[in-house]
Amino acid sequence: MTKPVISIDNLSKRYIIGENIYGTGARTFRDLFDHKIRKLLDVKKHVAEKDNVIWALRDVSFNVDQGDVIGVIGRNGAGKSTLLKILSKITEPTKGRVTMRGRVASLLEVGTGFSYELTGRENIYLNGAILGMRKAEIDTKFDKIVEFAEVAQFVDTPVKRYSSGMFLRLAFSVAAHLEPEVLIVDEVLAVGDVQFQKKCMGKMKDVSQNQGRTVLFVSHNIDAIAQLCKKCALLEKGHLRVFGETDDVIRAYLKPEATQTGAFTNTKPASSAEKIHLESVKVMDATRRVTPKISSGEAIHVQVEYTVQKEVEGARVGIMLKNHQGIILVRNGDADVDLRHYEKRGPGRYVNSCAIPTSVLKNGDYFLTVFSDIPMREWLFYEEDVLAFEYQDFANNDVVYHEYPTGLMKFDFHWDVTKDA
Amino acid sequence: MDANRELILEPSPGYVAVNLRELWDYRELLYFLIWRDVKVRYKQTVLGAGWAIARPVVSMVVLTFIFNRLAGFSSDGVPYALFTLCGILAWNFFSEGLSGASQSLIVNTNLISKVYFPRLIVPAAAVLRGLVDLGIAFLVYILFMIYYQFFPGVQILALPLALLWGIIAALGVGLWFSAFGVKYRDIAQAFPFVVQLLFWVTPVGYSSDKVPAKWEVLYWLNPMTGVVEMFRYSLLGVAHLPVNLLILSAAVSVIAFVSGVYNFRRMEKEFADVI
Repeated sequence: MTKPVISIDNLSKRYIIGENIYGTGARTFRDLFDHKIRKLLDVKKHVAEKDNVIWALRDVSFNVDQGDVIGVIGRNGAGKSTLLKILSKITEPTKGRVTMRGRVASLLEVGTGFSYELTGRENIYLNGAILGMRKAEIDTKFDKIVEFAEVAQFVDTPVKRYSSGMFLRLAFSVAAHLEPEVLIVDEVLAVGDVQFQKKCMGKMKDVSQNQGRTVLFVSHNIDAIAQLCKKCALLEKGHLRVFGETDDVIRAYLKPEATQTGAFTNTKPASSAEKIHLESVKVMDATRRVTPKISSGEAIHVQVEYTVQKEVEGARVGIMLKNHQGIILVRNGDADVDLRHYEKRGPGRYVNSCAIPTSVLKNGDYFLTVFSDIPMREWLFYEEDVLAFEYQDFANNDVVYHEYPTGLMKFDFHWDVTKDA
Repeated sequence: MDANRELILEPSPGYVAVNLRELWDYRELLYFLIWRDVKVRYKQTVLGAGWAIARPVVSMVVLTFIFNRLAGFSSDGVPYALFTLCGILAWNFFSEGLSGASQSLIVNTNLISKVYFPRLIVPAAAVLRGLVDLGIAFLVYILFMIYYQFFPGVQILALPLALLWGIIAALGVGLWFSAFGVKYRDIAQAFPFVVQLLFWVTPVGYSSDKVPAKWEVLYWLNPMTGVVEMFRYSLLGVAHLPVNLLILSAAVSVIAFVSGVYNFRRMEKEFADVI
């Protein structure tokens, strides 16, 4: 057996968060002095700082073999970008190691280092050099790059006069003509118009399937991952949750196990510090049956139960709805709709109910986050993606044309069609 | 990079040696970064090269007026204007290289956080692109040389050495400022003040022999004192060059450079996380 092209062993990356998310928390020299003096004077605070640590990656291990096309998926903050940055040598791991065999090129962004004042021709050379190409190599590929980008007429025009589409095509084209053994790509397809995305996808397919290169591909776009990748790695809060066949991993990604029942009960005991303690969250269909699968009816009912432990004023309780890509569709709290809810809530048990009209939902998986806050002042509770539910209404199905995006939500307008007399 | 070479990524110890082979592999990037900056600069400004000419000439007039006319300093038989212009060429190269290098990482945030390459290239490009401006300014110097009919002798052979010294001094100090500047943003505010201060303790508008003997050692701790005097020596043939003090100034430059490189290597692994 040949050795894997990339071996990742117990890779971990730690970020220390002080007063802000940067390194020691010292961002100005003044802060540094403050920080040192506080360390001297206040030992307790110094010890407490050990808690201000985020493991962006924790003991992640997997191997990538020659010719594999691997997708890396996960929600925001799962550690995808950190993993890519380590593999691209941009940042170092805190622990663990990666062994790579072969020439690696990474593409975390298209058009890095492009200079608007320079012409297309000049930018091709500049960007090529930044991505690690030799001048001689760029010379031989120059015509192909220009042709693929469809900018032949404008090659000696400053890039600032390009349309955004031309700019992206040129930027992608330079990157696409890198010929590494291992290619690491981040979200490149998330930009540009549909034509451009199609072109990118085509090139990516060509690179991975026809040329037999090893590709590591990170994306939020599940469709793209499903089309390109044989295997996937799913990251969750810095850990590798699943590594395997793409279909299985995507299924695991879309439906976290913890939230599959349609009901969530908070197992954390109420602490005296909490003004409001979340008790439970339920998702119900039109018949008020608790279920994670909703297939009919006019509304999805959500019920949030909580205990007010100390009288609060100015608080709101609400929900946030995300789609399967983690995009927030709506966030709404009780007091956003009726200001009277900001009035005092005395101690006791409360239930907030609301109904999400199904008429605006496309078929698919959704995630529910519940929160309570005093706006602009403090968070009372925040439980992210606490429940998942699936909405599948076959009677009122929206036909999905994958050729072009149909938007995040569904609206059936009242169309008037008239013919001019 | 060879196809079969294994690349291992793991936490590195505090100080990391400079990877010369890698720097050599990336020499074209260094060239392209310099080329980009020069090109953008001359495309953007209306004055273009005029700026590189006007600045030293105006400074020359002002400094000659102050030190020669007002203060009554002399310059060992060399036309005073030529004497100051020579100092200005060296000083401008240094101060622009230093400020360019200091800001270079912040200006290129995008590159640092999205692409890997040896980070040393960024401040190095910022210093080396000053050679283009220096070249243009040098043409002005030649015109003045012809006007005053004052030509350099064999001492001009020392010019490359003076230039190299200037590069080492600017890069040495610039590396310290650039590495710390990424982490501590208020360094940028102190910076113009530091440069201004350095200007007055560098013999740009006057000769270093005007400095009282008891302050000489302190004065020559400034790496630029040596650089400016070396420039004068190579172009004008006259200079105040006490050998032991010259060595002191050179030693400070080399120490600043070597320690600057090592500190940079120590701090660079955090750049992408902090920037």
